[in-house]
Order: sequence, then structure tokens, then C-alpha cells
Amino acid sequence: METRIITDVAQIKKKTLRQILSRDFKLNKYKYLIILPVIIYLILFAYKPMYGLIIAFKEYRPSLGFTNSPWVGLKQFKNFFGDVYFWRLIRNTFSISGLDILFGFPAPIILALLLNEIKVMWLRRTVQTITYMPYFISLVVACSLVKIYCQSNGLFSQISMSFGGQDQNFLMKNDNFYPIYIISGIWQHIGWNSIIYLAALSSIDQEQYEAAKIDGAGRFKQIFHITLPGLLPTITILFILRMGGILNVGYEKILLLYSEAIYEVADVISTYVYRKGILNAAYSYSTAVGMFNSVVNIFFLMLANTISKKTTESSLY
Amino acid sequence: MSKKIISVLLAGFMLSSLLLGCSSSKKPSETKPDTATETKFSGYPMNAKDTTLTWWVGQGYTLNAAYAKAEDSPFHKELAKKLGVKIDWQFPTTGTDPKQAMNLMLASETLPNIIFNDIMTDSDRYINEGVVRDLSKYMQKYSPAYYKFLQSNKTYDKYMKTDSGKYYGYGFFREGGGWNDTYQGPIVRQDWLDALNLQVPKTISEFDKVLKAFKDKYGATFTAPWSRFKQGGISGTFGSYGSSDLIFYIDGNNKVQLAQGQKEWKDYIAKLNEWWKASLLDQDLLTNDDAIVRTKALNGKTGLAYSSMGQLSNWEADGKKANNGAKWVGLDYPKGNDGKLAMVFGGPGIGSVVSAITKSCPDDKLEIAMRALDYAYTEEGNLYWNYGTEGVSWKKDANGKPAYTDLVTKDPNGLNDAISKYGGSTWSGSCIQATALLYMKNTETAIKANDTWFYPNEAVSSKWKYPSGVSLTADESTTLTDLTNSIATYSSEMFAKFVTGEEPLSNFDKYLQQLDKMNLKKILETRQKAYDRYLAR
Repeated sequence: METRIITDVAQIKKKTLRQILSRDFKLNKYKYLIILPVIIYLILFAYKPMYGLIIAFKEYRPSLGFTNSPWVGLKQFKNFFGDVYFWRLIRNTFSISGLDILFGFPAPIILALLLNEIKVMWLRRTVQTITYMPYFISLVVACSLVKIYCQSNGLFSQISMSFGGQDQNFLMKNDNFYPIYIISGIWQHIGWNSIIYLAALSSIDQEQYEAAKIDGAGRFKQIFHITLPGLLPTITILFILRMGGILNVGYEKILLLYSEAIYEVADVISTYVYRKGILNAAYSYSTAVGMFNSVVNIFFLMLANTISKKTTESSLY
Repeated sequence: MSKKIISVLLAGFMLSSLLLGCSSSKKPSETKPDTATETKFSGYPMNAKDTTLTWWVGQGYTLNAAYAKAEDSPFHKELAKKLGVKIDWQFPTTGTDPKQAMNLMLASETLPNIIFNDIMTDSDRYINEGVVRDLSKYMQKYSPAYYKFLQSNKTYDKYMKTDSGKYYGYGFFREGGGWNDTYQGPIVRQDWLDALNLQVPKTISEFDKVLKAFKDKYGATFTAPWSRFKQGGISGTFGSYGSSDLIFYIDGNNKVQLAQGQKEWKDYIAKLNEWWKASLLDQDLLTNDDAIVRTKALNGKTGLAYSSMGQLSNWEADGKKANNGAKWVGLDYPKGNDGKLAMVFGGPGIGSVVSAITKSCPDDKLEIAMRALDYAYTEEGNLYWNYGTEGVSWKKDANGKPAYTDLVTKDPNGLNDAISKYGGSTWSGSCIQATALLYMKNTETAIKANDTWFYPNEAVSSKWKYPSGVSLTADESTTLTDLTNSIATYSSEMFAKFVTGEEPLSNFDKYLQQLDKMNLKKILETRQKAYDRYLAR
């Protein structure tokens, strides 16, 4: 009798695996149906095009197509890694990206925290609107503003001259490029990026603040012990996602602001590859570089995720 | 239950709309032998209304912004009528890069019969890969006007053949050679010269004097839009051939050289550095564009500059509107201290764009396609491509020369825009662009400036250039793509550093050594091989 029970249990276990699946399907088949278009979309537009990555190992010619272009193995990668400027490009890309994360990431958080402290509603909304507005200016317009201000005898020059400085074109000096790039980026994105933090802030339990006030906590102690921990999951996830784009320095902004005089600090991987493509549509080469970009990005994403899991117990996956 | 049915229907709807987006029409490529069937040709229109040619235009004579489709565009509509054949016009979406659009089109397996784009350097490859047809057998028979035109000038003939001597394309030529290819040069404020009692500067030392005087009296500097100055600038004055961009030229021994590798280039940047140190050169030179320089010209920040004839017309108009007495005129390129001038900005008056017939054009349509393209080079077709339909957009004036009618001259969008509604040669096309057209498009000052830049210097306006008609083999193209970018980055960076003084000119020899390390020899050899083949055509 006992053996029968055991085998029955085993059979029940086996059955339930298949049963779980079929029960799940029966219960949720409409949910699956609804998700099906999204999955098909992802397969068609995100996964299937990955097949095109093979041209990173070929010498692609549009008239020959993906299949008939000749194989060249790792030539494109060797070309890229062996380039005279490879290390400079890596250094510049990481510098710009790193500084952007170092200064550009906390800025919206600080703005959200500050906005949260404003209790006068109309003032808060006005400040919010004003900080959002630069986001809607197109990048080209914003960059041409920056260029005009940086010119010799332009706005920045005149301000510096009134402090005893010299008239100069700020975008011609290596030292000025990173500050100009970062600060103009913060100016443009701080408002928009703070929205998600403000939303997260509104979900923090107000009772905690009251309890803290009763315990005698001042404003800063409240921010430190209630607000920031409450924001931590949001911050972590956004940070990990940001790390996943570490090599994706937007080339449009650099293209609009740089010149040969500051290639030393401003030339990044994407601008260099862009110039290469002007001579000849270097599809295979840029695919190889893009593949390298993605691999490094994934590495940093996983690194950030692991560190965050170990230190703050919240992570992306 | 009905809710579930609705959600299922919705999902199915979304699914099907996804599938609508994917269209994959793969036609088998045609592999017919290259024999065309002959039709009886009796002049234009050709009476071939039942034949349709698909014609893809990548740039040049694309649709004027006022028209959404070819059926509305007078030029395209009338051309089909004049040819007597149905044309299915295709254009890339506005704003797309023509090269990108072309590559997309090539990747899509259904080629139009005729394509117009910048394919000269890859001509042999396109023929070998089965994209473009070899027209050599029929060129004289089916395109007599074009054939005659090519035979009239050896350079034209060389440009339009591949290295293996095949004819494949109908090109863009400027009538009378390279006049309008020299559309850039020095510009000066004549009223300032008069006020300071200065002669028009002709040599580089006179340029120095004028710049110093302008600086002292007006606080002005020498300026230029960077995109225009970085190619050649005034390097010719010093026996050099390029500024910041990598420029390859042909020296007196038919050898390919790099402008940035010669000692004459050092003399040129030494002078620019001298001007920089003395605050005679605009500090914003490397970040200037046309709009910024135009503002500087209006605000009196410059009296001696380098720009184009089109920009000159703008400055003139600005000055008139502001009523500040500014009189901008074109100025001849300065001669060096040895009295010589090695080069001016210019070209041979041959574009790098061609109309080619693709493999998708069946043999029975070949003659019609070739005659359709030949039309532009006949007398009647030349008038049409340049001016449009007689009586509609142009009439013969008192001297028997074509003159635009009010329909064009009084167009609310301006003359320049209106011309491209009725004609196809304004920007570029597979045709011969009439100089008269350019004269009508530009102001008197601009035309005079162009004359000043071109006629005295015709001999050095294009013979030095590495011909754009040279074609590269696949290997050569790959080699050049692999090697050129790092040397281009290096030399343009060093140009900026030498001019601003960040790098002392005493390090010039180190710079030359670095160029060698960057495979300069290999690049020159590759280009030399391609050039030699071009000479042998």
C-alpha cells in the first residue's frame, strides 16, 4: 500500500508539471494572445535583425547582400583595435560618459528633492515648468546657442572679461569641452529626468515623515533617512540602466560642438567611425564597432547590477 | 464571454496590422544575354506611350519642395511628354542622404531601370556585380548626341568610361568647363579700402598690409566659414594645395601627392600662425559656419574674408538693407612672394553623378532608355533641361537667347527656387548645365566675383585635382577605407594645433615622420595605381 502511495505521489508530481502548463494556458490564454503581437514585434524587429551582426565578420557590399558578401573573419575588429587612435577614443568616450554619470545623474535627484521641499504649490509648479522647458528645445538649436555663446566676444567671453579674463573662443580649448558638454546637458535634461523621481517621491508614506518629526528629526535628517531610502529602488534601477549605456555617448551633440582643435578630448568612438563612413559606406566596420560597444555595455550593466544587488539588495534582475 | 471575444479580435487585429508592415517582394534577378532589340527611332517624342521606364533620382533633379509627387512637377511631367514615354519617377524620402538611399535601394532586389546618383568611383564594380549595364556596344547607335559630346573632349570621355573602357553612364557637365566650379574665393570690403586709401591687394604681403590696416582702424580680422576654408583656403599662394582636409593632388610628373605632406604646406600654416599670433585671424575660424560669418560681415567684424559667390550676394543684400555703405566685392586669390599661384578652388566642370541603366531594364527597353537619356544632350533637350518648356517658363529675348518668363522670375519663392520647378540642371543632372542659367541665378557682384576667381587662374583651377572620375577596385577601396581616417584625423588636428600655436612649427619634421608611420606611402601607392588606370583609358 505504501509503495502505491509513493508512486502515486510521483505520478501526481509528473502530471502536475504538464498539468500546470495546460492549466496555465487554459486560464490565461487570452493574456497570452494579447501579449503575442508584442512578442512577434520583438522577434521581428529586435531579435531577427541581430542576424545582421554577421556582417561584422564580412566585407559587406549592398549589391551582394548579407549572404554573398565575402567573409573576412576578425579583420574589422583588428582594424578598430589596432587603430592609432583606439585608446584615445576609449579614454574620451569613458571620460565623457563617466563625467556625465557622475554629475548628470545626481542632478535630477537633487532637483527632485529640492522641489519636494517646496510647499508653496504655485511656486513649485512654476519652477518645474521652467526646468522642463529646455528639454523640448531641439539639440541642434541648443548646440547652436552654446556655440554662439562660446564664441570670441560672445556671452561667456564677455562675462569672463568683466572678471578680468581674456576674450577667447571657449570651444577651442581642450580644458573647456567637458564642462561645456556636461553643464549644457544638465541644463537640458534636469527637469525632464526629475519627473520620475518626483513620482517616486509621492509614493513614500507620509506617516514616516510625521513619525520622524515627532522624534525630532530636522529637514536634512528626514531627507537622509526617509526620502533617499524611499527613492533607492528607483535610483538603483535607473543607474543600472544608465550604466548599460555607458559607451553610447550621443555623437550628434559632439558633432555639433567639436572641431579639429579639440579632437584630443572630444573625438569619441562614434564620431570617429562617422568620419570614416564619409569616405565609403563602411557598414561592416561600424557594425563591428557597434558590436564591441554592446558587449562592453552589457558587461557594465551586469557589473552594476551585481554590485547593486550586493550593496543595496535592490537590482534590475 | 463577449469581452473575451473582443479582446481576441483586438489582438488579431494588431497582429494583422503588423504583417501589413512587412512586405517582401523578391523578384528573381534577370540574366538575359546583352542583346537589345532595335526599334525605329524617328525623333522625339518617341511614340512609346505603352512603355514605362522606372527612373530613380537620388539627388540633383529631385522634386522641388512645392510638389508632393512627380505628377505635379512641371519638369518631370513635361519630360515624359517630350520623350514620348511613360516614366515612373522614384525619389528617396526628403532629407535622406543620397548614398544611404542608394544603398537601401540596392539592397532591395527590385532595381529601377534608370538610376541617377554618385556612382562614378564604383562604376566597374557595379558592372561586375551585375547592377549596372555596360552600354559600350550601343552608345554610338542609341545615344548619338551624347557620344558626339564625349568625343569632343578627351577629359569628358575619360571620366565617363570605366577603367576597362566601358561606357555606362550619362554625366553632369558644366558648359564651358569649370567656370562655376570656382565659386569660392577671397572677398573684400571695397568701401573700407577706399576709406583707407588702399590699393586692391594682389600679393600676400599686400594682404598683410590690408589686414593690419583693417585691424587698426576697424578691429576686423580675416575670417571664413570653416567648411569652405578647410578644403583649400588660400594654400595656393604658398605653393600648397590644401588646408585641413586631406587633399591629394597630381604633381607635374603625373604623380599623386598629399598636400599635407609637403614643405609648402608648412609655409602656408606658418603664415596662418603669424596672423593668429597678431590677432589678424578670426579666433572662431574653426567653429564658423555660413550664418555666423554672415553676421560678422554685417557687424563689421571682418573686411577681408574667404567665402562663396552665393554668400557674397547675401552679404551685399544685408549691407544694402542696413544701409551701412558696405561694398563687398570678389578679390583675386593673392600671389605668393615669388609671384606664383599654385592652385585655386575649382574643378573640371564634370560632376561625379551619372544616370546609369540597371540590369533590371530588359533588352527590349534598352534603346528607349538610352534615347531618353540622350535627349538632354541634344540641342532641343539641352534647352528643356536648363530652362523648361518654351513659352511657359522661358522665351527668346531680343538677342535670341533664352530668358525666363514672369512665371519664373515673379515666383513668390524666388528665382532660384522657381528655376528648379521647370528645369532639371540647376543643382545637377545627367545633362549639360548652361552658363547662362548660372548668370541668371546670381547677382552681378557674385558673377563678377566668380569671373575674378576663375578666368585669371583657369590654368590652375582643376588640373591639379585628383580626378573624381577615377574608379577604385574593391580591394583598393577597402584599403583606402581602412587607412585614410587615422591620417585624416591626425593631419587636420595638427593643422589646428600649428595654426593656433599649440604645437610649435619646429616640430614639423616630427609631424612628417608620423605621417609616414600612418601608412602614407601605401595610400599614395594605391591612389597612384588607380590614377594610372584612369590615364590609360
